[in-house]
Amino acid sequence: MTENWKRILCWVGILIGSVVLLGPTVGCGYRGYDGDRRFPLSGKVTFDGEPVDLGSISFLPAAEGGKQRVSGGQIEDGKYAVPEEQGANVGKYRVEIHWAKKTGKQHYDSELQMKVDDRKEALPRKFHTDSILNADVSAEKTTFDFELSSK
Amino acid sequence: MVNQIATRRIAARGFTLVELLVVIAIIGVLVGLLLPAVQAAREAARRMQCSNNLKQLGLAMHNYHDVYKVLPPQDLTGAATMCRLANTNFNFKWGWGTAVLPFIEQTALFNQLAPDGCSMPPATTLYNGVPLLQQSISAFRCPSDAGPALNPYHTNYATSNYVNCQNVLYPFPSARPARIGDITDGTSNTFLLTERTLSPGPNNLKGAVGGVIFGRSASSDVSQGFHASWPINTRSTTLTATAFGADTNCRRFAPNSNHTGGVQFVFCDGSVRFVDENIARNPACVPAGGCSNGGDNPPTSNAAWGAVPGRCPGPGFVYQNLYNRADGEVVSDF
Repeated sequence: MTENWKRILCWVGILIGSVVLLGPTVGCGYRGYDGDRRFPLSGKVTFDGEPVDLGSISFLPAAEGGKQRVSGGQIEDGKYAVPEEQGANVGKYRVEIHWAKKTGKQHYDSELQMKVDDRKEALPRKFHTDSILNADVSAEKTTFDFELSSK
Repeated sequence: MVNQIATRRIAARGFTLVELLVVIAIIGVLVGLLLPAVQAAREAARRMQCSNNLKQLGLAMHNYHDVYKVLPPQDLTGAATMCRLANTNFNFKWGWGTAVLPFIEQTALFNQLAPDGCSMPPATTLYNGVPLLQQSISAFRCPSDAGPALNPYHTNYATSNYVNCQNVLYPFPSARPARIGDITDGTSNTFLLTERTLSPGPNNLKGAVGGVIFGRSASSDVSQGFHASWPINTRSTTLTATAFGADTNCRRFAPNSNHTGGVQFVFCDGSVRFVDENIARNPACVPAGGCSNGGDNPPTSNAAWGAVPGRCPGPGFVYQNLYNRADGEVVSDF
């Protein structure tokens, strides 16, 4: 009886050992990036009810010198979506939003050999350079909608 | 009693059928897991070859600097009076690729091209009967890129997969390319060269325009340089077979490669490092509404909003901080 138990224990040991050895090669548990856990970000952005058609949203660490990572991405047709690999860590972020709005004029682009829409920043400074916008990123809260108003 | 113990010991020495089957099954699983890794080894080998090319070009840049006390220019503009050829289209400019030819053992090619302070001739120009500007050089090609040898986006000059950091080699604002001494952020914290693959359309939803070995074609200085505005491995979505299409946001200027997960950079110290495509960057650093005044040119209302494309350093924007040679920002790990 004891001999059989020894054998069974031996096989269990071999199985556990191979799983431990194989784990890193298969990459189990690796999220695709190093460092602290990141979270995907998404949401909608409007200004006075109008969707921001082409712009950017930046999530900048609220506290300087921390370990938080900057995040953000492009806003297209009033929506943004940042994948987890480029997402934000848990914590408080200052949010800056830019909108490159069509001015209605066009200019000739010599490289593209076509007329291109002129675009200009259309949001007041309180939404980017002197931003009053904040976001508190956590595992539960990764969707942030911004309904901006000129008033 | 004695006999019984003896027989049990003998039996314990062998393996039962079940045990052998289990061993074979485990080995089978192991091999199954390793096979994809063997496939990936081919790409790893190509990436190493590419890394070697970049290293050679980085060393060539340094040797050029030793001789001329300045890094080679992204592209050279001459005055019309200096031209000995009858070509006066000054959008065609000799680039750094020609300048470093003598330093990568292509002296004969350099001497035959005999670049002067004038514009670069058209791609089909014959030198003693040979179209040298369509001469492919393997040191300028990444093996992971299956794009054509002649770049259709740049009037069929010989394709290069390596493009320079515009903040280092672009003559603006100092009217000359950087000296090593101008790279005050430290040479190991500043990009020098990177890759751009060439995968043309038509209807290619993920195209990239590659580069040109010898200089700037009439189309765009995207033939020579890159901006750190769009993220690494951004592809252009508007390319046709031979033109950029309506690429009004300048996605074509991004570095990209067919390597998994990022691209390789030569830094100004000559080192080659692989940079993750998810490196922290400034999300607002994206041009909109055309980029003919992009790069390091002064901003116009059309070229960018918020910031000049490719020049948006700041705390935590590792990608832009590495791109800018003198922004004074601390670069964290990447």
